[in-house]
Amino acid sequence: MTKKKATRRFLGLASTHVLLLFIACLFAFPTAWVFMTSFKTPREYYSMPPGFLPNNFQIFHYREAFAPWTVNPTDMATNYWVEESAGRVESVTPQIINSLIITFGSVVLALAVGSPAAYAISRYRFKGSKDLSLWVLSTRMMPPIVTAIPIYWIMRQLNLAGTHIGLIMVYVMLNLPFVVWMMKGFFDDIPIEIEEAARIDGCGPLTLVFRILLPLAIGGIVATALFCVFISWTEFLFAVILTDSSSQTLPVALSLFRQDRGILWGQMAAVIVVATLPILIITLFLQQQVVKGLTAGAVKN
Amino acid sequence: MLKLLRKKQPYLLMAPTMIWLLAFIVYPLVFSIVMVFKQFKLKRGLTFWDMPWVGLRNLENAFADENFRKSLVVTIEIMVVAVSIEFLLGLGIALLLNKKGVKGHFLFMTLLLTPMMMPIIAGGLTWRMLLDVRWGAVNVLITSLGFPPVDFLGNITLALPSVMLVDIWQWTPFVVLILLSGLRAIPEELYEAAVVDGAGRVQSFASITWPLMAWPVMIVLLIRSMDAFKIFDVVYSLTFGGPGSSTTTASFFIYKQGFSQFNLGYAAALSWIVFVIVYAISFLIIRFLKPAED
Repeated sequence: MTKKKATRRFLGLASTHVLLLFIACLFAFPTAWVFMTSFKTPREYYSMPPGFLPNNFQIFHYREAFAPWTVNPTDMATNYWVEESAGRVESVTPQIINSLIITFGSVVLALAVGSPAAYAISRYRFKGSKDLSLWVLSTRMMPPIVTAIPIYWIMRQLNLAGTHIGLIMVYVMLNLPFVVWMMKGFFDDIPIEIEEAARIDGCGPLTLVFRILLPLAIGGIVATALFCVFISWTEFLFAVILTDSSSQTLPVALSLFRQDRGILWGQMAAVIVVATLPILIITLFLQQQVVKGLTAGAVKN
Repeated sequence: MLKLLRKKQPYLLMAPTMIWLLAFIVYPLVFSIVMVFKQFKLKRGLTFWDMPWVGLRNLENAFADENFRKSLVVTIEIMVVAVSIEFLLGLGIALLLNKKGVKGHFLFMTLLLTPMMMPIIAGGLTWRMLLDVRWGAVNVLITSLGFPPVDFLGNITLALPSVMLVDIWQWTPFVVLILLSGLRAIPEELYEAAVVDGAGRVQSFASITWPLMAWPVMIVLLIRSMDAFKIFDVVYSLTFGGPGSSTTTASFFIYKQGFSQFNLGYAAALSWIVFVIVYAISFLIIRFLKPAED
């Protein structure tokens, strides 16, 4: 009797695992498909039926997308049947550099601006503290198109439309609610006794910040920074209205792929992989922290 | 002086954040109210003062705009259908993951989270590739089963479900995350006590899981419903609002009014209407789903 029960339990658990694995693979499939496509020749992805794995991993789509000058069109055409695309693609390397500059600038600035506020909310009960912190969090609920229209005009008047700085300033605004709420959580975890002890030992405010607080909060700062990287790296609406050809970011470069009827699938897949990979790696290593950021303010009241 | 500084310290620490948000949220919102009452033309050399006042005309036009109304309907359709599916699917997966004895969370979560890690614009392009009539993987599957290929993105009735599909693919993992962390917070002892009292599985779900999950459930529905009004990237990369206007969401419609018709005053009026709707919906969700305080 108990044996029978145990078998049933085991079977139930096994089927749960199989079901979960199936669902998880279903969700991961599109990403995997793009990854594979980026290594295929057009002959392969225009074949019927297309296989999942490429015959052999070709990197010429990456060369086309990032360093087209290394590609010899006639050689490509004869060897890989990519006559229609070879040499006609513009490199997305400048856009990657723009994305890196804007992401780095906005994340550093957002941390510098938001961390003091997070510390204040975590350590002090002051008049209006609760309302202010809730208001900061609520700004993330607003549809961005509402502020996008006036911000576009304001940036134009300030001659900041189309510049890196303009977009950085907007991204700081998008990141701030997350910085304030995530960093508040991390400051909450630092016992106040440590600060008091340091103060009694004659520690000045600057020493306190740089010698005590920052080293203790470094894990939280890294997690928050990575979460902000995620936001700045993937943002599209503000990027598409506030950038011109000199400051285009990677998502904007991606969006340009859809314009002609015949999409250059191979190159597009290569760019998608490069746009996704940094974030995917971050998540892999910092799953817990990323989860914390995504659920910021959601679980704990 | 120093004493005063100390007393005001929290305010000083809050100041940079507040100034930033005032400059980039509050000021634009106020400015946008002014825009509603002006006719804004985007023309080199024209300043704010050159724009003529038009009174309520932008708002009147907005309320009479058939296409805007249609875009609102599309948005609400996405909100209701996609968010419901995301919620049910997400709850199912979270319950499975939370089952006693389930191992391999890291693997499952990593696979599940991949769609969220893709920039949304890339997600849309990925599905363009998968749903392509001739070469897309989905159609390869359909034709190999003996059915004729389906033009998901060129078909006026299938384009919107395709947008929903991408949204569901990308955001169900988020629902799983929040609901799972809610489930994890429920103490195990409660279930054990219920078993001792002779409660069945359904009973313990109804009397323990459901009431204790009220808060995460509300949060998830609130966030995802608000997000439906932000849907823009997917539409831009997957269908560009078409075919016809079958997938033109409110955000995308406003974007087109503002940045391809260059009608900023009108776009501002539309965006205020959307803003009010979003707040009304979030108010309703909080009103009806907020768990009783205890």
